[in-house]
Amino acid sequence: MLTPPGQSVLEAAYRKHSEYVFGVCLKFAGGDRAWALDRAHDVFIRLHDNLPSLRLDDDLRPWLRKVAVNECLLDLRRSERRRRLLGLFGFAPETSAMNDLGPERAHELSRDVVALDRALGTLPAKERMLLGLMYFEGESLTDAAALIGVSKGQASKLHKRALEALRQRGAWEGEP
Amino acid sequence: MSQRLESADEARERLARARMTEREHAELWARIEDDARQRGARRWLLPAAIAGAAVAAALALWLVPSEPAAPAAERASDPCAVDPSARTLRVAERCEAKAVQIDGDEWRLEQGAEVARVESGARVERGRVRFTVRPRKQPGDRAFIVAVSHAQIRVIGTVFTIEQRAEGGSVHVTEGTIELSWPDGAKQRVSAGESATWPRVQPAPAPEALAAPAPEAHAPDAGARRPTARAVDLDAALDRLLVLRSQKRFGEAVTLLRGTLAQKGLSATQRERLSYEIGLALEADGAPSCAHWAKHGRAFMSPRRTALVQKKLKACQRDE
Repeated sequence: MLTPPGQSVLEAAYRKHSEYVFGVCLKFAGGDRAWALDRAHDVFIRLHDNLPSLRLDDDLRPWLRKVAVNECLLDLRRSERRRRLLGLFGFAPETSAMNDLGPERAHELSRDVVALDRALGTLPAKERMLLGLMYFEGESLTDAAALIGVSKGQASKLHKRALEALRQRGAWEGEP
Repeated sequence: MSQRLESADEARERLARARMTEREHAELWARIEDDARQRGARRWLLPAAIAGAAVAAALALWLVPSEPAAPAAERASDPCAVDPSARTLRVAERCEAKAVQIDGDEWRLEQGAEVARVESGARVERGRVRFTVRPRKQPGDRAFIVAVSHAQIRVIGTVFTIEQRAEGGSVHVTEGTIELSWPDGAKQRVSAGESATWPRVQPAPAPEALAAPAPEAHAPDAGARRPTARAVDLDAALDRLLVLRSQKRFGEAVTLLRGTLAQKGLSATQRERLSYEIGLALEADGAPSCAHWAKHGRAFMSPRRTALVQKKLKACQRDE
């Protein structure tokens, strides 16, 4: 059973910050709301586990944001490992939200604009997080690199590679 | 048709507007609450057992010769106590959540919650209340009914949480199934893991040309009054569709898609896309889809799609 004070603090934090946390997670979700909701859940469970060691008088948002970025990156990397493992055993890899639509159905969407976050959803975990942090969260390359745990040089390479992949997919998104 | 990649500014602006729906809020908080409670219980299990045993031993030594305390007097001295025999049960904002046992059921009232006892069960006036209702299986057992602002909830034996606010509310079912009865007599079943909100948002029925042959199982509100058309938000509908598909709630997906398709202002291609999705959702739900694919084929004779739809039609005729 939860201790009553812990429960009320968690609930108060949820009421105050849940939209913010969901918004952060959605930026890395590749258009998959259910995934963003799952990550928001993970963030608040981490908050619950860390309540005794947190200074609750301080603004929780920076802490929640850092945890949200970590949880998103961790889950994306888990998915990547699972896909690689399945590939080794000859199973079809899991599809991302964008691939799930398929070229047929993406075309049928009849949108003349392809959502950028869905396009990012087709990139590997670190590239997706890096671009999400830079373009949606307004982080500099240096800060985004620190948040995902890579050097600035490596981040620069990831950035270049991700943009190239998006450019190629941009051509793919056009009329087949 | 050519497509371009959305600019970072456009995407940032669109994502900044994204909000959770009431239902998503209710589901997410219920999951967090359940998981946090389980983790809390695991974390404190061993220390609590040791401390409990020590306290029990000390109390046994100290209390045996003394007179028993008067519980009523203790309750009277506690301003946050909830009297289970009272007509209206309430927990003040400054008090912690309280659980009370009533006729074998547990009512857990969160801070600021208020529930009235009525003959058929309970009426949630405001706040969040979690009900753990014992199974009603004995002869003469009456179903437990909870009244909320815009509906009644009939329960046979289950666990669910109600949140009642001034303008509406929501229910999230943890175990079993409940049945929501709306004022117009329509009923809606909500099973474990699902949520419902009120006031009810009624999806518009699909136009004649695209109505599928057996919509009753998927559209409990079909035949109810037609809501006025609102602005089409195809993005939101498709986002919601992704969630429903990931949770394999294909019946609800069909209802959502039919409601979206009935909106005005859709382009022909958008209508084709939605109709196509209805066919896929019907197939995934194991519902008859032949009539839908046939109508889809007649309505959208684009050469690019014809072969695909013919293939679907052949497959469903074989299955049905």
